[in-house]
Amino acid sequence: MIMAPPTPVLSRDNAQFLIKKKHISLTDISPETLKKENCKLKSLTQYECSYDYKNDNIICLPFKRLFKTCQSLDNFHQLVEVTNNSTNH
Amino acid sequence: MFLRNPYLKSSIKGAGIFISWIPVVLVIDKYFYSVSSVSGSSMQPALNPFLTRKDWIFVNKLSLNDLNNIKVDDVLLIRSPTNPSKIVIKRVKGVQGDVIRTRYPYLRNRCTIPKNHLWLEGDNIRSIDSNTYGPVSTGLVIGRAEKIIYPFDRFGDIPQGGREARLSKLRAIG
Amino acid sequence: MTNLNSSFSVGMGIITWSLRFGCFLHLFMDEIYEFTETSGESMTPTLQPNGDYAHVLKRYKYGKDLKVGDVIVAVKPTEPHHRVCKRITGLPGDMILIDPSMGSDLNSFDKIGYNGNDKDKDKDKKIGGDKEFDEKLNEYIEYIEKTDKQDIQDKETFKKLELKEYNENKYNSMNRYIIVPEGHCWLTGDNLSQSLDSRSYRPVPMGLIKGKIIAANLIFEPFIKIDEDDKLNVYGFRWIKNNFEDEIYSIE
Repeated sequence: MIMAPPTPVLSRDNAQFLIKKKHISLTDISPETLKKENCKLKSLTQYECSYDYKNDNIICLPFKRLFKTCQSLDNFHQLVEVTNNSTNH
Repeated sequence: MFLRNPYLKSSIKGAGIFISWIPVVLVIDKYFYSVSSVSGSSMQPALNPFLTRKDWIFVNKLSLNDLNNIKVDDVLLIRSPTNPSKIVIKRVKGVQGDVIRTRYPYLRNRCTIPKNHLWLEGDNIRSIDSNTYGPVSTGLVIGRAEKIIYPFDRFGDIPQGGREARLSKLRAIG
Repeated sequence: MTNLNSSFSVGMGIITWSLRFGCFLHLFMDEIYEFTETSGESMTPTLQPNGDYAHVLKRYKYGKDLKVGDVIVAVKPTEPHHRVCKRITGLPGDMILIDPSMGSDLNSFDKIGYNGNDKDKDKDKKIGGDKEFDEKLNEYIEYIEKTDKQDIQDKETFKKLELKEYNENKYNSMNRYIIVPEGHCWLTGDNLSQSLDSRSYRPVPMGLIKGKIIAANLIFEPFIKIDEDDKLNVYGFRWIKNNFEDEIYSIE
């Protein structure tokens, strides 16, 4: 269902391509790189909950998402997501 | 001590009563009927045909409770999808289920309007409207502009305008 | 005669004062603060499925002063008479993944795929063999040039990268980014497995945001209780906090 406005989906490579000029990596989150990029690493944790029938309660496992907020990002791009497969093991 | 002054006392009482009616006026303006000026040229020539003078319109906010009352060619006030602090005025050119033949700069040349959404266009071909931001949720609708109340020489219904955008109607014409 | 007159005016007085007070209350709840019931599993464990009542501040209406990580009340885009509680996980200009949790076993919700179409999974993946794909590619480039206000110098590289992704990782949830458009926000329920949110209905215009949830009371909790920190807790009160925080990166 197309809701407004039509926003295309970008692959990680292309998203990286777009912010290449700002020299910010969507994959490298080591402290050295962060310092060089003048970025901070931030996280937001949400959950995946399922119902435990045996004990009649809800079990929620945390799901973390990682983002970079950077000085060099201008008003248009404020933060970029860097969550990857190892973020939640 | 100064409250013993009878004139002051009745003035304060009067002011209190006046103030107590303000919420009622605000509620009427917000949910029932309102008056507004139009800025910009996106609805030319129907509204603001000469930019030197702003049109004033009468807005009905009541009928919007049942959103099925919205019809093609209604002129609506909505909260802008690209800037929520701005209220813009556009004409309905399609309702839920309609397939629209879109215009530049919309990326696809067809668009099916989802449930409870509207396709809005300014009468002026250069307006920023659904062709830029896509179908608009009826949750953003503030009211329907029903009459021009000023200037007096154009007092009355808002003139018709805009193009036919619905594919089904366009095919019927051809 | 005077009795009738005076009871009439008393009656009218009651009616008009109720009207004035009712309007005042209505405006107060719309523009300043509202205490309202919430229900549903989309925000567990932050908000319980039943019995949680939210304290909503309306000064954050239409997205004013809102930040990523805030919990808000918004009108559902497809059902303007329904309201939903979600967390903001993206603001205009942010470059975020559509759904990094997709593909997780715990995720029971059907999300819209790349083309919104399951049969595309088995599509032939030859280079240059897909006309619809080529059209989509041209769309991206146009869209990005328009919204990002930069020219894509090397369109060929851009196309090659996209094709590589298309062939290798089409449904990899860690590889599908979106840029939140102007005036819109990305909403996600805290319970990723049971929430219908921006992952399905895409970015939501901030004009649909009604307020920010700053606290909640769970009425099933006892009226007065001493909690773990030896503090007095009334009806399960807790602050609903913004959880967008600094991450201390630890080397494993």
